[in-house]
Order: sequence, then C-alpha cells, then structure tokens
Amino acid sequence: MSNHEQSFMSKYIFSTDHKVIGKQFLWLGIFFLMFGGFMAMLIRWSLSHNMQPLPWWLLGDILYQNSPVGVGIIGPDAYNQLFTMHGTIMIFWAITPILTGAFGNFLIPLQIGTNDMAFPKLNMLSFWTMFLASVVLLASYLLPTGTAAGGWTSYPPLSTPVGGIPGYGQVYWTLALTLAGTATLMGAVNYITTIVRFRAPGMGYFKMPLSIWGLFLTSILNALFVPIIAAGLIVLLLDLVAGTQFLVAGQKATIPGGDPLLYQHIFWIFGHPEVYILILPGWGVVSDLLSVFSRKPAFGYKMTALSMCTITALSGLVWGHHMYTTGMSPLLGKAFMFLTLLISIPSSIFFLNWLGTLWKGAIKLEVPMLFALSVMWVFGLGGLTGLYNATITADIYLHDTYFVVGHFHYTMAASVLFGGFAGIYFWFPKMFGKRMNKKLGIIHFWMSFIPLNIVFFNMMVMGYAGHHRRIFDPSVYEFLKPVLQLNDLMTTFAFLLGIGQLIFAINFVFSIIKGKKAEKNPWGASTLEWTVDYPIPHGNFASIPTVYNGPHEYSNPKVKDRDWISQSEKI
Amino acid sequence: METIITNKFKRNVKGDSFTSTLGMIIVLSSIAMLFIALLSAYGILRVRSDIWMSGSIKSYPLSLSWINTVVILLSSITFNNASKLIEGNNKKKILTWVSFTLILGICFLILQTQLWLIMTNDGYSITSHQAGAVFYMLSGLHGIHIIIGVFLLIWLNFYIRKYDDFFKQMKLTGMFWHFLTIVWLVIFISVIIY
Repeated sequence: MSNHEQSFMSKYIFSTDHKVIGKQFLWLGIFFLMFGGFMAMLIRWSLSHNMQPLPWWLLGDILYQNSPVGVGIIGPDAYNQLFTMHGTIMIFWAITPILTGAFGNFLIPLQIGTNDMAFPKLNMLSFWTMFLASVVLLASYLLPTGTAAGGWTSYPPLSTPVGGIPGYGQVYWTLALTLAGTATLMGAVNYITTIVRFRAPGMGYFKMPLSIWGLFLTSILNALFVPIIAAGLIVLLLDLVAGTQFLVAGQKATIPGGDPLLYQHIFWIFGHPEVYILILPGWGVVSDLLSVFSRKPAFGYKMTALSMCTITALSGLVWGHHMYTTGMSPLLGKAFMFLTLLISIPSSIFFLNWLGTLWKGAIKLEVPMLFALSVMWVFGLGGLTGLYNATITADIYLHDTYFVVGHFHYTMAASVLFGGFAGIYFWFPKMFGKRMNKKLGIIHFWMSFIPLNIVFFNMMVMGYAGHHRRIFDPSVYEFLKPVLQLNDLMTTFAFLLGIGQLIFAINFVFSIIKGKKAEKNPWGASTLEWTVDYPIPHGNFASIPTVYNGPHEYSNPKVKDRDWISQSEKI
Repeated sequence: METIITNKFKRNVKGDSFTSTLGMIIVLSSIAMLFIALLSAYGILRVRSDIWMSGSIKSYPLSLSWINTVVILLSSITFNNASKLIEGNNKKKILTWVSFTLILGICFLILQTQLWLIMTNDGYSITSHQAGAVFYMLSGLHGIHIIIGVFLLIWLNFYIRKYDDFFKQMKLTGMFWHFLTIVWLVIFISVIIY
C-alpha cells in the first residue's frame, strides 16, 4: 500500500494498482475498438461494392489474398465471419473493457475515496484472463477455416456441428467468450465488494457519483447474468466437442429431444441484461458530466439513481422480446411486451432529469460535454425506436431487419461509445496528467456525430424497407432497388466516421506524449478523484477523506470565491 | 499507508472478514446462477421429452451415488466440526477434522470417477441420450468445482499449519465447500433419483 519503489514488471505489467489495471483495460479496449471498427469498414465496403477487390486504403494488398472468390475480395463466408466478429469484439472486447474495465477500475476507488480495490490480486487476474481471452479470440483467425461465423448471437444450428458452419472457429469463439466472462465476473466481485465496503466515511449510497451508481448496478448484473451465458456456452461447447446434441433437433439429430430454442432463451436471459450492463456506466457518466458542465447539481439525483435501479431489476424479466418470432405463446409474448414497455417509464424519468439538469444551467460546451449531449440525442432516438421493436405487431415485421440493427447501434453502440468518449476526454487529465487537444476533440466530435447519425438512421430506413440484417449482397433484391442509394450513402459516411476515429487515436496518443500539462482540477468538478495530484501514488489518498457534500456541489451560494466545492470540503 | 482505525471507520480497514465474506457470497451467487440456468435447461428438456432415460440407471450405480451423497454430507459435517472448534483454538483437532474433510472430498472424486466409468460401460454415456448428456454435464461441472474445493482444502491445511490466524480462510473455504454439498444434493435429487 505504501509508495515504495516497484520494478517495471510489477509497476506496469503485473500491477495490482487499480489505476494501472484501468489503463491496461483502456489500451486493450481501444485496440479492439479500432480492430472492430475496421471490420465495420470492411462490412460496409462489401455491402455497397459487393465482390469487388478491396482498395489499398482498406488494406486490399494484405487482406483476403487467398480468398476463394478472387484476390482481395470478401466472399460470402468471409462476410459472415466479419459481422460475427465485429459484433463479438465490439461488445465483449471494446465496450466492456473500456466502460466497465477501464472506468470501473480507475474511478471506483478514486471516486468513493479508498486506497485500492478490495481484492487487488483478483483485479490483476481479471485483466490477464481478459488478455488470454483476447489471444484465444485472435488465434481463431489463424484457423484454416477461419473464425466463427454464426453471428454474435451464435444461434444453433449455425453454431452447432450438425448442420452448422464447419471448422473450429466456433469452438475458439466459445472458449474466448467463457474466459472473457470469467474476467468480467472477477471484476464484478471486486467492484461490488469495494463499493459496499470501502466507501469513505460520510459517503452514503446517495452521495456516490452517478458514475459509481452505474458501475455498481452493472456489476450486480454481471455477477448474476454472466453465469447464464456461461451455462449456454457450456452446453454449446459440449455440443461442439463432446458429441452431445442439446441444441440439435430435426432429422439430422441422432439423439432425440434436443432443442435449439433452449439456447436462444439462455442467450437472451443473459443478452438483455447485457445491453444494460453495457449502457448503465454510460448513463452514469453522462449524468455526472451534464451536471459538471451545466454548473449546477444533477436534477433529481435520487430519482435518477432509483430509476437506474428499477431498470436493472426489470432488465432480467424482458428477454422474450428478442424472440417474438420463435412461436412463443401470445400470452407470454404480451407479458414480455408489457414488461418491456414498462422500462420506458424509468428511462423517461432519468431522461427528464437530464433535461432538468441542463435547464437554466451555465452550459460549457467542452468536448466531454459535447459527447454527453450527443448521448442524449442518440439514446433518445435509440430508446424511442425500441418501442417499435418491443411491440409485437411491429416487431414481427421488423424482426431481423436493419431496423433492429439501426436501433441497437443507436443504443448499444452510439450511446455507449459516445458515453465512453465523454468519459475518456473528461478523465484523461487525471489518467495521464495531460490535456487532450480541444480543437482535434471538437473535429472528432463532429466527424463522429454527423456520419454516425446518417449511417444508423438510414439503417433503420433500409430496415423498414425490408433489408434483412445478414444478407450478403443487397443489390440483387428487387424490393431493395429503390433504397440502394441510401446503402452507398451509408458506406460513404461510415468511412468518414472511421476517419474521425483515427483523429481520436492520434489525439489520444499525441496528448499523452506532448499534451499540455493539466492542472489538478481542470473542469472544476467536485468529486473526490479531483482532490489528488497527478501522478496519483499507489495508495491514492494521503489520508482517507471524509465526505460532507453530495457529488454535484456546483454554484452553491454559500461558497464565495468559486462555483464548486469538493465532496470532502466543509461548507 | 496508515488508515484510521476507530470503530466508526472500521470498514476502511482492508482484509477484515466481512469484506471477504461478501466477495465469497457474490462468487457463490454467480456459481448458483450457473447451476440454476443449467438445471432449468434440464427441466425444460425433460418436460418436453417423450421418454426420459434416467430410469435406466442400473441399481448398482444408483447405490454408488447414494454412497457418494453420504460421503459428501459427511465431509460437510466434518468441516462443520472443525469450524466449531475455532473458538477454543485447538489447532491439532481442527487440522484433524479438516484433513478428514479433505480425504472425504478426494473419496467423493474417486467414487464419482468410478460411477462415470461403470455407467459408461453400461452404455449410459454422454452421447447415448439427453438424460446421459445432462447427467454427465451437471456432475462433471460439479466435479470441477469439487476439484477446486479440494485444492482449497489442501491450501487451508498448509495455512493452518503455518499461521495462527486462520479464521477468515476457514470460513471462506467452508462456505465454498458447504455450497458444493448443497449443489450436489440438488443434482442428486433432481437428476439422479427423480
């Protein structure tokens, strides 16, 4: 716990310091974000320049040289692998490490005022398990048949050996996901225990920053629902390697009584909480940032926290809305529809609270604030389109179309990603002691916000026109001919979006090396992490702070010379 | 780093017993969710099947699994005996009971392997029918956790020999071990004898 000298290995590689582990997760997440983003570019290329060789700027001279359909061309099998791995990597290897791994590790001990996580060694093990999972996942690319290709959901029969896609890619995928899930569980054990036990004196549950609330609820969901997907993966793995047929039905089954729907249920019992696992930290971060940059306390703080709790509780009861078209009983379908629509009530409550926070605030349009505001827009659109998907009558038509793809990209991808960017821009000074370049940040924002909206909004339009989510070549269908121009438009703007992220990567790396030195509290924020100087020592605080104020103590009339006061200062 | 140790600030002290207990509770609820999911999957497969082959377990393997259940129950009792002695701080007696638990745990694993071999030879294998698949999956997964538990008991044995303050380690190992006993009872009742 003391600030003793550490060797390079124990300081940067096998560190038990939560801040270092947080940064390790951040690097891993950013690497896979770029990796998965690049795959999205390839998917877009294939969709609008079907069966044409990749250009040099999409690495056409390196990729797909041995493709069976021609040098540098993405064939149908390769396309299946692309969208499968794009989804898997973005969800489990980019968003989860950044939002939960990096922010969770970095923020929890600092914001609740303690020295480190409850179980630092377990924390280290969590990262290295995740690293191992990444190695297994990337190794699947080296297989002669390529990596998994059954979609990120890996529904049977696509994923099972009987009637499924040949090769061992699915086995690697299953193993990698099991390992990643184990890593997440270790993190969850740490986060929950730390938040429950190690809050600084005076830091009641309703004095925690909303980011911590989001991470706390995410961890509870992780601890309870990641084991469910583990169950699904065990069943799938046995089918793949041990010859069981839990998930195989029909004429090809040699063992009677298997049921592919079983996997869908297990997957979505996990899968729906998973979307809240992804977005709750984002909501928390945005709720805090809106308050910081409006220079006033978060409106309805308690209600925001409680409505997030309500959503957490409801999220475990709504998985059936992913399965309306599986022939479930209409009564069950209606029950799931009702519960799903119920979620819009707590969502509306905290959305209103966000607006209330902005109302009459002294809004400062710094880069983190721009991203926080954009989350309101993209999440608002994503949430509203969710109502159509939740309603059975609309969903039976929209199921498995690009409408769904657009919807979940707005909620899961755009909201979480922008929440993550907001967080990275906001906490960068505390993580690396430097400021990120504001001009490049603003360019990055507009290069993300506008193209992203054009891409994902048009996805919904195309989905409404009937574009199925996994077709290889949209140009061969008569009914899609009228909207094909939108397809090309989306591709163009997707490339712009990709270039925008390069600006972020450049800004991120150059700011670490050559950025302006940051002062202690550049944003004038009142949470505890801003009371310590960079570089933060291994034990964080010289002495454990005592907390007197709420997390958003801005523009308090009792404070004279400035418009903020730290949580650990007495008014 | 000094942390202020007064009653009020006690929760800021690392390594106190309740923090680890809470961690263990979260781990156990995760494992419980894993088994609940698999047991529900079993329930659904069984309810929907026309004939379920669990009745075809021969009487000899069935009696073997009864013996096994008694063994794991005994191991929980022996561990409980050890935990009761912790107040008196009688290290030797505690070690004896923990070693008994360890031996019973290893016995359970050996018997389980025996059970698997006999049943596979009888044609009740993982690929013969869904009942077999479910049985091997659940008992195998439980067995993996028992192996972890046995390693924990070995570690605990060394720990007690080496240190005097082993209350926390004992409590956590005990929680894990008793939990596995309960899981086995559920599997035994719902999958094997029902």
